[in-house]
Amino acid sequence: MKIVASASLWLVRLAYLVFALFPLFWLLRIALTPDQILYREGTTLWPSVTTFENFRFVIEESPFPTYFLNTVIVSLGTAAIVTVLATGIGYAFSRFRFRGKTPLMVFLVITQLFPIVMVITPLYQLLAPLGLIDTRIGLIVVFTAFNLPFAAFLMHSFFEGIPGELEQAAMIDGCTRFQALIRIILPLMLPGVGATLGFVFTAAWSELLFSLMLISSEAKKTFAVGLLGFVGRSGVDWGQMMAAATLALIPPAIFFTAIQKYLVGGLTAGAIKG
Amino acid sequence: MKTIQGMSIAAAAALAAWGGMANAQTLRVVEVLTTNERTGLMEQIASEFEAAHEGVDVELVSVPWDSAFEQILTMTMSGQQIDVLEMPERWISTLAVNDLLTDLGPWLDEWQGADQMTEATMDFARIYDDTAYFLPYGYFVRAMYYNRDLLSQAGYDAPPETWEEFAEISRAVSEIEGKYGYCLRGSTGGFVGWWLAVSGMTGAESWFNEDGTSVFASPEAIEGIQMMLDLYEDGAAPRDSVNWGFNEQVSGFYSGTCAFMDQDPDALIQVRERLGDDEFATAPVPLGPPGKISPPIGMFGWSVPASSENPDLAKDFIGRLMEPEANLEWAKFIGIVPAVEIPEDDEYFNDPVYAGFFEELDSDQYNLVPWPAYLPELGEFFDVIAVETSQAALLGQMSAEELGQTWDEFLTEAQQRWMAENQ
Amino acid sequence: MATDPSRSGRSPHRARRMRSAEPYFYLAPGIAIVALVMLVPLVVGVSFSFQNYVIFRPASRGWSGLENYVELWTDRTFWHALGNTVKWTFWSVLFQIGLGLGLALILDKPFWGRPVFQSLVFLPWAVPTFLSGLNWQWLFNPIVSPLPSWLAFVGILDAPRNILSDPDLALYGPITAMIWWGVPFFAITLLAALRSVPSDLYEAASIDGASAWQSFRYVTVPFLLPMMTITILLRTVWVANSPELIFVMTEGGPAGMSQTLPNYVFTSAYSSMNFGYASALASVLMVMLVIYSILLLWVRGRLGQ
Repeated sequence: MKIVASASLWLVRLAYLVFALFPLFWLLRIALTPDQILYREGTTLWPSVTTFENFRFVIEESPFPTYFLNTVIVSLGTAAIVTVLATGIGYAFSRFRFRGKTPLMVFLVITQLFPIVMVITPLYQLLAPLGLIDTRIGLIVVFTAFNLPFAAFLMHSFFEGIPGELEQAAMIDGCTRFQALIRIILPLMLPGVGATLGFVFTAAWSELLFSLMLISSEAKKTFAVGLLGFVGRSGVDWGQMMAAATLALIPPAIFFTAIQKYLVGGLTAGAIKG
Repeated sequence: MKTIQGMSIAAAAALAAWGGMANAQTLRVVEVLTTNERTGLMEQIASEFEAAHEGVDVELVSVPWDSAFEQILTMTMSGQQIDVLEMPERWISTLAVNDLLTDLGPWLDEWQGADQMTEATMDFARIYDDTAYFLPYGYFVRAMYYNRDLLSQAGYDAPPETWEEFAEISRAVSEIEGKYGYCLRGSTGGFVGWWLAVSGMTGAESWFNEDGTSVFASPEAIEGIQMMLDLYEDGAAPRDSVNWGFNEQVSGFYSGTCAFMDQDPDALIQVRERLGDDEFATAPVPLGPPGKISPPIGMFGWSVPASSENPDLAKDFIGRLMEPEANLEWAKFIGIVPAVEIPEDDEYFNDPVYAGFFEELDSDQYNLVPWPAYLPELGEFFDVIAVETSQAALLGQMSAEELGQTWDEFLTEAQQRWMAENQ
Repeated sequence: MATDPSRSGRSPHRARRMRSAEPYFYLAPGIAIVALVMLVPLVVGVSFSFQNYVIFRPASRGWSGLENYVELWTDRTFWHALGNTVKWTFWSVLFQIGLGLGLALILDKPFWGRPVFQSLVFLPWAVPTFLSGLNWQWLFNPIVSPLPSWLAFVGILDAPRNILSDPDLALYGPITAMIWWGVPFFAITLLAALRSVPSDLYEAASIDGASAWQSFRYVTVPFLLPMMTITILLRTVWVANSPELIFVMTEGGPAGMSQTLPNYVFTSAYSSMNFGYASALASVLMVMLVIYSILLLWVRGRLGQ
């Protein structure tokens, strides 16, 4: 019985892995297939000839290394800033009663409800005189504003899960409220912090529309914009595009590995309570 | 002591850098059709230009084609500096009406390079409102690509000269298992195919009659539309092609899925990478009963937006880009008919694979017409209305008459409105 | 940030004022940046909807009251796109929640290879949406992918053909891509929520003799609910507002059959170049999403009692 259960559990895991990875495998397959046989051998699982030329091109001849670096800077910057700001908002929403709380929450939701297409032009005109067009800082500012509402709600929910008595106890023991937050509460919320970091990093990592509209110079482009550059009027460089896309999965993979001990490991509230 | 010395050196260097910055003029050149091959040539021209103009820094900005219009519109409307802008003729009406482009006329009148351009180039420069808002660097002309192997398998050894033959061969090729006659393009950009059929049957040289009514509701036009619908209905075009765009159409052709496709010369680059010159060729588009047809001619060129901070330098740069040698090489990288006269001994353009295109350019039966780019509604028609309704007709939700009438209503209204405003 | 008044020894009056100001210290930086960067453009964007604002007719630009909204009422494309938006959002989010919850439950229990497994299954989410659209477009194309013949083999399709070209099925192409891309997001948040369930609650439940299902139903679910509602809320809104996948995969076609509102907003703005009308469409979508959010938060409030 137990063996059957465990086997079927593995089957489920495997099935999910196939669902998640097959499209990514197809990216890799296209990247490794020489252009000439891309269509002739379109439906075979593995092409008869493979080539690393596309990868070589992307790494050595294209500006993608710069694009990757830009994207890492922007994504890490956004993830860090959003997580700090979201902690503040989530904490305030969770631990204080104050005037204007509900309108503020509604405000945060509403900013998420408008199709981005319609805010692009006004946003551009707002940022241009501030000198934030075509800069990485400008991109971080926009990403931060765009991702913060969700991150704040996420953090709020995690704060709600931690009993208020914990920090009250700490404050009676002589901590300031801020110290209690940093030393007692946040360590308990590591899974939440990890999830928020992961959410924001990835959202910033793969964002296209803002980066496309706000960045124009080569030296500051993010990789998503670079990928779109492969889609030309007279065709698409599929192989090079997919090679760049495959390489683009490595940093998030590293990032997920780095945060996962917080995500699944973390101390649970129950464990420390005693 | 050393510190002070170091500091003063650093300060002097900083001052020099600052002074240099203050003197430097930046020329922002925005490209929208960047390709790996073209970039090399562009960079070379830019650095030569920098060497010849002291203190000028050419900044190349390449905007992905997929979203180029949206981005350029946003940038120019917000007054971002662009000195030289690459653009198709279709954008002119929108940008010009908002005063976002400058008139190159006075410069063109004095420009020494003008006599090396083809006559058409100097005419097309003034395609909108009789004002030279841009200088075309090359042209897209539509010809019929055909797959020799598939044709001979179906028992034919020459490309079709008339639409009747075209339909016949298409049906014959479709008899072969897994093969089709026509790589139809049902999605964005597909209107060109419909126009060819309409122009072939009507012989119309323009979308519009003198009184501003369109030609699309005439019985001959409906016949052309019906011919296309029949081809699809009979399986002479792949079922999936209702949603095909550029890539699907071109890959459908070079993978040998279908025998014909109507395409511009730029598709040659991709097709030649995968099919040998003996496996395919280009022919002029087929003719209909009137014996003449008006394939569309599209163009790309250089403009100087109103936000340019160095308009004179910008024009110099355009002049440099348009030098015959550069323009010819440029045209080869993009797969476009150049704006300068092609030398008789030019190997590249005299290659037989270009036969279809140059026959159209030379023959009296082919009258190349530009799209009515002056109509502000052209974008909506071309990208939205034409696509949605022609797909509906292909899927059997609309008849040929209804399709022709829908187009006629929209276009006639737009044209007559334009005529009223410009009388 | 050291704003704790209890240690400062100042007058109680001032301390109270400090205390009431305290939440704003935590809130201010974040709220300020959102207000500046999101609110201002949003207000400007909405104001377009009350204007006659057609890019290529700059001379006739001006306030036009509710004209755009009146026009919208009789626009068949609008109603059609609205229906598709509901369908697109419902199926995408439903499967994302289901699979996301499943994935979170799988990842919650340790097993051999879990770290690697976790890093891998989260990857789809790191693919930019337009690229995942392009990739799925390949996968649905029978000339270059085995997927259509597999679908035909298991009987989902009658023949290996491209569902993106089928007016009845086209919308399910982008929906599939959206599900694939979005599951990790639900999984991450739900997993983090699961990890935050105090383990003594489970211990208490098992002492009381609860079965695995009962402890899931009575311990896990109530704990997850607040998190789930907020995640569902914001994700629904995000999916409903997202045009990229449909734009890349079907362009709303064939024959407009997979057109959704955000796509229609996009084509109205940049093909018809009618910013006023596009903004009216966007505003209507926003109002509907506000109503939806209020409903969902109300339901959440009821469940919480």
